[in-house]
This record gives sequence, structure tokens and C-alpha cells, in this order.
Amino acid sequence: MFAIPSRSPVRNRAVALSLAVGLALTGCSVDEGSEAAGPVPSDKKLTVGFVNGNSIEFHTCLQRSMQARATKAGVTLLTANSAMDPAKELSNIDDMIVKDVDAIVVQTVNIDSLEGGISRANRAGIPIFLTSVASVDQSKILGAVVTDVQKVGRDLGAWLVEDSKGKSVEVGIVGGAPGAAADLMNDAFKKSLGDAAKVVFDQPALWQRAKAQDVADNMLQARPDISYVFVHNEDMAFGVLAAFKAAGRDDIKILTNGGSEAGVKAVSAGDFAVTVSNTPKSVGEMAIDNVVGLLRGAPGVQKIATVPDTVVTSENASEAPPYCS
Amino acid sequence: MTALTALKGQARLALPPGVSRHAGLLTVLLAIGTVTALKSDAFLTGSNLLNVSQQIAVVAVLAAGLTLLMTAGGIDFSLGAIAALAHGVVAQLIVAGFNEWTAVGLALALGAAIGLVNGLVVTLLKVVPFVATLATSTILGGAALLVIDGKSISIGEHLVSLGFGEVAGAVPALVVIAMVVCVAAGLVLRWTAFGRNAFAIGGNENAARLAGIPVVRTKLLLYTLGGLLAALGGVMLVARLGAASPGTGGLHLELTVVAAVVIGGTALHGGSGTLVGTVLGVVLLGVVANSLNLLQINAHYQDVALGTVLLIAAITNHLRGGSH
Repeated sequence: MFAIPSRSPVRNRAVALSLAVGLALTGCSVDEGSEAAGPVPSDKKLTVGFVNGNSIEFHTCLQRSMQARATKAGVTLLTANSAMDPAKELSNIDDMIVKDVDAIVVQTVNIDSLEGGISRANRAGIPIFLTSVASVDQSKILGAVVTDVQKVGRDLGAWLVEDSKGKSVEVGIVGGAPGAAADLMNDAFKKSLGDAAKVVFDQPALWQRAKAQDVADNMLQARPDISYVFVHNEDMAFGVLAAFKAAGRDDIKILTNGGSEAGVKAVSAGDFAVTVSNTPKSVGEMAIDNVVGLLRGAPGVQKIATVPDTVVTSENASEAPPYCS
Repeated sequence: MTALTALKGQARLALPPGVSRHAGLLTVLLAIGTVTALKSDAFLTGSNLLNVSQQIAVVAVLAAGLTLLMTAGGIDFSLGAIAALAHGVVAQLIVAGFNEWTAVGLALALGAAIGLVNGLVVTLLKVVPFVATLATSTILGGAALLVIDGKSISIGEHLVSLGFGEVAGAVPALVVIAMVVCVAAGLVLRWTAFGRNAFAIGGNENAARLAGIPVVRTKLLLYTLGGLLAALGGVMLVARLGAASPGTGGLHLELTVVAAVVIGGTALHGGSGTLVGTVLGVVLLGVVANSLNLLQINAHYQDVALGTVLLIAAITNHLRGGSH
């Protein structure tokens, strides 16, 4: 019979994690060391590697829209998923280097831990392109398509100030995971609130709908007088909505970010007060277009491009851009 | 009302052996409860305790199955993934037009079948359970994403009676299910031949076999039961959330369940374990998550706080367990 010697749960957790990572790894890395050259001639077929960061709806749609755009442009797209693990992201980048792709697109797990990956790709002479965030030394990357998360935070803050008409109100925040992008958005949101609106609750829910429901339950216990809640993405906002419905609280206005089909529908139905649409569909399409343009040296392609976003309320919900391909 | 208060009451009255064995864990729980209650008026309200009990219901159901299995020396790392798969399957079946309870029945059957497969791999093919279930966990985690196509699937108003229903006007249906499962598992483990067989197998499998205990049959049943309860947990997840969503269940839930069971004093190598300990472990994890939110602990410190509490709980429980 199998018997493991008695271990602390923490150690066991480490063993489980390292085994899981180990199972997911394939092969080891070999730097090819080919030098970055000038524009790729238009008759050579491009192969682009895409390292995705997670498998929640945003990431699924991002990958799907890139795949569709790549097929249309005659580009071969290889994909890998890092499942929120920065170490796995690094090995995924290594794998793409070994496969000698023309460029690597990364939807990073954590921009702060990506530097190693960028310098590895640079050493191998393979250009690297980022989606969503680009707060790194921009001379080291081919380019990026970014969502201006600070603008999202500011827009939502401004909407709240206008909606509350300067009354003093309590505001709750159900966040994603602590990290660069979420923190930037959150700080911009808080800063734009002014003096009247006060953030009295700010806790993470790790981008999980079920966890967001628990956190919202706890928020209602701790701060029942909240009248607005900012939820970092729509999937979590639905978890928060479920918690409010169970508690019979339809008086709290939900502000969120995404622009998914279900999210826009919830805005039309009045379940969410407002959302910001910055869709993975446009991120993915712009990413493929710009990677191809920059590799081929086409004129007029912006190195760092910003995805257009729209504040969606019940008034303009019918005109919101599509989220997924 | 909640398992927490019921157990506290018992501890004050008579300290039966099942509870005194976990005095260390109870102390940590009371300490955290006291600190939180002093700093937040909301903590000790009835509605918050109901709120916590509802949040831990799913973990409790999975942990009950795992306690039985680990007592017999087994382990199942795929429970979280089975729950994720089951919650996706229920949502998709409901969207496809199946009756909601038919969908639940099919998901439970699927969970039991997966548990049986785990059991067959472990008993007949003699693969080490840690490795076998880690592998199936990886497969099932992927399958769960495939089933929902990586997107959130809403089930609308279906399963509301399960997710939001209340028994006797106050206790959430999910909590009632969790209590029934835990009490039943506790009774089975303590008072039936099947439960004693599990202890014997966990203590010394060869001796158990020579003593005429049906080792293979018992283990197959335990893995099947574990899979069934994990699927039940998945059904409860989708009912409470009103949707299937990527990232629900899976490794995160699995680690919480394993942590709860081990902190509750069940030995990783088998032969020892109680449901009382497991329930205390589950309650502790739920109370800590609740306190972190109520006390507004900074996001960056939450893991540090959680890990520290787990470590202290494990140490105190071990010390107390050793002295008895």
C-alpha cells in the first residue's frame, strides 16, 4: 500500500504544485541564437507564438480572435497557456523560442516577472510583443497593444461622481488579484472619486466568480451601507450580483469592466449600472495586425497601440462592440 | 445553527474524546474568532455565521469524502477537478434543455464513475494514488474547460431551490446538505464495519487483507464515494453561483480541501482520522477567509496570514494529538 510520510500541508502543497508544473513542461530550452534581422519579406509565411496567461473568458476570447485573424492573414499561430503561473510563462516562452517562431505574443501573467522572458527572447533574436500591458523597457519589445486600465478606472470613477451627485456615499471594491494592471486601475478609480465618495471596503477575489460571491457576502456583513461597488471584471461582477440577489439587495449599483455579451446584457437589464467595453476581440485583432505590420516593416503601424474603450450604460448598451469572435 | 457553534457548545459541556483530541485546533479557532469579533461588530451576528456556513458547505462535502479515503491510506487529488467538471456538465445539460434534476443526477453519476476509474487505476493497476489522481486531475481540469468552452455558462433561475433555498425558514439548503453528508460520513467511519475496515486498511493494508477484510472492494467504494461527493460539491457550486465559470473548483478548491482534512488531524499515511477534526479544519479555513474580508486585511498580506494560521493550527493540533 502506498504511504507518504507525514508532511505539513504547506510542504505537500509545494510538492503538488511542482509536480503539476513538471507534468506541464515539455522538453528543455535551447537558445538558437539567431540574430534579429530586418523586415521579413512578404513572400515568407509567418509563424507567431502566442503565450496566453489564463483560461477565463477574456483569455479564451483573446486567443479565439487572434486565431481567426491569423488564419485570415495566412499566419500560423502556435499557442500555449501559462495558467496564471509566471514560471510556466517563462517555460512557454522558452518553448516558443525552441520552435523558432517569427515573433512571440505574450498576454502576461505578471508584467513584473516577465523581464526574464523578454531578455531570453531578445538573446535568441526573436521579437516579443505584449497584449494588455506594456510597462517595461519599450526598446526591448517589438510592440504592444494595451488597454488603458487607468482610463478605465478614471471613467468609472467619474461616472460614480456624476451619478451620486456629490452626495457622500460608501463605495466597495471587489478586486482581481494584486498586481500591476489591477492596482493601476484601482488607484486611478480611487483617485478620481474626490472627497464625497469614500472607499470603505477593498478586497481581492482572484478573478474567480465563486470567490467574488463569497467576498461580496462578507462585504454585505461588514459594510451593509455601501451604495456602489466596483468589481474588476464582469465575470466576478456576476458573482457579486448573485450575492446581492440572495441578500435581497438590489439597491447597490455595480460598476464593472469588460464589455462581454453577458455583461452588456446585464447593463441593459439594469443588473449592472455601468461597464467599460474594451474587448479582447479588438485586442487580439490589433495584436495580429500590428505584429504582422511591424515584422514586415509596413509603414504607419504604431509600436504601442491603445485599444479603444467605451463606457456602456443602459442608454447605449445596444451599440456596444462585440466581445468575442 | 452552524457546525461551529454546535461544536463550541459541546466543548464547553463535556469534552467528549472526539473533541478534546482537537482542543488545539479549537483554541486557534476561538482565538481568531475572538480577535475578529473584537475588531468587527459584524462577525458574531447570526447572519454572518450563516454566511460563513454557506461559504464552507462545498469544501465540507468534498472534505468528508476525502477524510474517509485518507483514513484508508488513499488520497485523491482530482476532487476539485471533478467538482469543476460536474459544475460545467450541469450547466451545459440545463442549457441544452434537460430537466434540472436529471442534469444533477447525470453529473453525480459521472462523478461516481470518475471516482470508480480512479479506484480501479489505484487498486487493479497499482498506481500510487498521489500520481494517479494528480494525472486524472490534470485531465479533468482540461475537460472542465472544454465542457464550458472556457466561458461562463448561466443557468438562469434553475436550481434556485438548491442554491438559495432554506430549510425551516433559516438554514440554507446547501448547509443542510453539508451537515447531512458530514454526520453520515462521521457515523459510517466510526460505527460501521465499512468504516472500521477503512481504518484497518489505512493502518496496515497487508494485515487487513490477511484478516479477511475485502481491501479492493472497500477502496473501490471509497474512491467512488469520493468522486460522488466531489460531483455533489460541483452541483452545489453551480446552484449557488447561478452559473458555471472557468476557474471555479479545480486545484484551488482541492488544496483547500486537503488542507482542511490534514489540519483536522487525519494522517496522510492513513489509519487515523475523524470527521469532527475535518469539520473543524473546514470551519477554520472559512472563518479565516471571512475575517480577512471583515478586517480589511491588505491583499498582499492575505496569503501570509492564511499560511501562518494554517501552520499554527497544524502544530497545535499535532501537539494536542500527540499528548493523548
